[in-house]
Amino acid sequence: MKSIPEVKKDTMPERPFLPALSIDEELTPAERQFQRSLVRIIILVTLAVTPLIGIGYLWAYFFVAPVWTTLGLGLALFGFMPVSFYAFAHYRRGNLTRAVRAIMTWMLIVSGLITVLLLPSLMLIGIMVAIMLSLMALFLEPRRVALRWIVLSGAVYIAAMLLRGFVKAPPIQLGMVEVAFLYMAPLCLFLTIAILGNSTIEFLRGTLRESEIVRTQAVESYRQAQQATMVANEANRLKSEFLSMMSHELRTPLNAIIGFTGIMLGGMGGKLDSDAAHMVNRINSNSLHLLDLINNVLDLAKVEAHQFKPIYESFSPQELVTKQSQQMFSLAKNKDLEFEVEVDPHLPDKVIGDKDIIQRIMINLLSNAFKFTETGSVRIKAGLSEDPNKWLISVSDTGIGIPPHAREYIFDPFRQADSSSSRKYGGTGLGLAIVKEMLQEVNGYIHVDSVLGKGSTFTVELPVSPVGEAEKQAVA
Amino acid sequence: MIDKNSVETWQVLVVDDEPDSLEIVSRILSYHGARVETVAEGMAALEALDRLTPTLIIMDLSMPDMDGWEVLYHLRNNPRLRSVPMVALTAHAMKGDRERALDAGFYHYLTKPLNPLSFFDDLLAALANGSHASTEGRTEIEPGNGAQTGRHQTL
Repeated sequence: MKSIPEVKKDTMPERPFLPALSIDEELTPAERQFQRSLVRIIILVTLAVTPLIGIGYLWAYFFVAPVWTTLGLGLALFGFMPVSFYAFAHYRRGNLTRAVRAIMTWMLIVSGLITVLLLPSLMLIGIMVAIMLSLMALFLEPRRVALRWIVLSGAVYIAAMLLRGFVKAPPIQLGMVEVAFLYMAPLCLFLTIAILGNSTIEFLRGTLRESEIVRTQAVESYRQAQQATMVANEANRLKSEFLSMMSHELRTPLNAIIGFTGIMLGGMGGKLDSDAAHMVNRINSNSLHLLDLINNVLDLAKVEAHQFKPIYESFSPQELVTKQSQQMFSLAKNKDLEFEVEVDPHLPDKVIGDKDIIQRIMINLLSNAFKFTETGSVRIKAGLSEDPNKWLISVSDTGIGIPPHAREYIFDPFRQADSSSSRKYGGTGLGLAIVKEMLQEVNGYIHVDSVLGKGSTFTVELPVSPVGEAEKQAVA
Repeated sequence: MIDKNSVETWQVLVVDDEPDSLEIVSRILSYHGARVETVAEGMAALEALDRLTPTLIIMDLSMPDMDGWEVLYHLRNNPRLRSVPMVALTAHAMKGDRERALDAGFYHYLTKPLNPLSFFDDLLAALANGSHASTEGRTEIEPGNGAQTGRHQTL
């Protein structure tokens, strides 16, 4: 078989010359879609055009010139209808190869017929059909088959030319060279167009393939991310369940210890001599401390596990701060400290936030202030911030203060500024850790100012209205 | 009249599945002069209530078989027992629990651990204040809806 110059170098010998629209198994779904549309167009156009041309020829026969060649052609074209339905049926069944080959076979026959029977001036039609056939072969069939089609169409062409003499068709006033040229010239023209078209389609095909890969990867990544989120949420949920269960289990025996020692200390359990009373007091006191630790540790764990979802509502900051401070007056009285509560009248009437979280923050800061102050005063102030979207709560004391290096770790769990201070001042070292975690949940900030020996000020900055959250969750 | 002076006449029914908790409450009340009957579960509480009309009921809300809400429901539907004050006792302290209990008809709401030194005075004060929840016009409670989830926060 003579080798026609390869249009495209390819490792797969079975691929068509112009593979862009090839009917091969390698197509991606998107390409296949494209190809099917193209084949569909070819089939439908053929289905539509053929009867029209057939009618045209028949009309020409009956009304223009009753030449038998015209009649023959008209009937042949009409006769194609079954072929096109055959092709269509195969197309519907997904058998594109058969469908296209049926059409190409018909084109071969028709080109031969036209070349044989028609007037020389109309011979070009035959040539066009043969060329179209060759192009289709180049696009749609694997190489060896394409070559066969092209050779076949050339052979039919030559045979048809020779046959003209036998059928007594009007002779052609052209030499063989001209006739050959008539065939080759349009073929080359259309071939050029086809190659250009092919390159474009190849490019598009490549792009399509790439975007499909990207799409598949994106879908996969999304699926994995969803799965990871599910796993993480489940882990958090289990942790939270474990925490609640543990919390109950730990508190129950502790409540019993606190209860019984309390009864004994209250004189309700019979007489206690002073020695025994002292020891029972130690038990009771330590148990209360342990309970405090448990409560705080579990709260901290809960906040860290993001199980402390903020519930936003609208409330008056003045009211909240004043009320909470009032409840802590006794702490000040016990230590003979001054306690000032200052609320800026310019504070908005209503802000949006999680009341319980803010309350807890205040309690923790005030407890610390009272705990670490021996003489002097504690002051809580609620006011505006420089940022109009934020408001402040600051707790200042004239207590022992915090050394500069300690500021980094006082917010760590179980840390106090001085490692011996827990013995002296009590406390769990968790108050600030809880404050810090809770502030993270509500997008707040905390700032520390302190002079060792003089006192400290903790300033908490809170959003006036958390963006978006308020709409989602505002409880009137 | 439930006040300090009538303690000797009190007949208190205490319901709790934890024996230690039962004993603690019982001891405190007995010390002050009240008569105390203790039961460890809801069914037993209902049986006891068939036999007697207590002055006061102290009930743990988180018992396994029948919870305090169910007993409250039975109570409220019994004309003889309707006016007996019932105090809720619970180890959990979830946000909104207190309000829900009071709304449902509990007289008072206490959390464990009790402070033995102030428990009795606390109780007297709450009972003297009068009913926190009248039996008319309040949310009808149904058995089993007591343990609904509120916010899971412990303060």
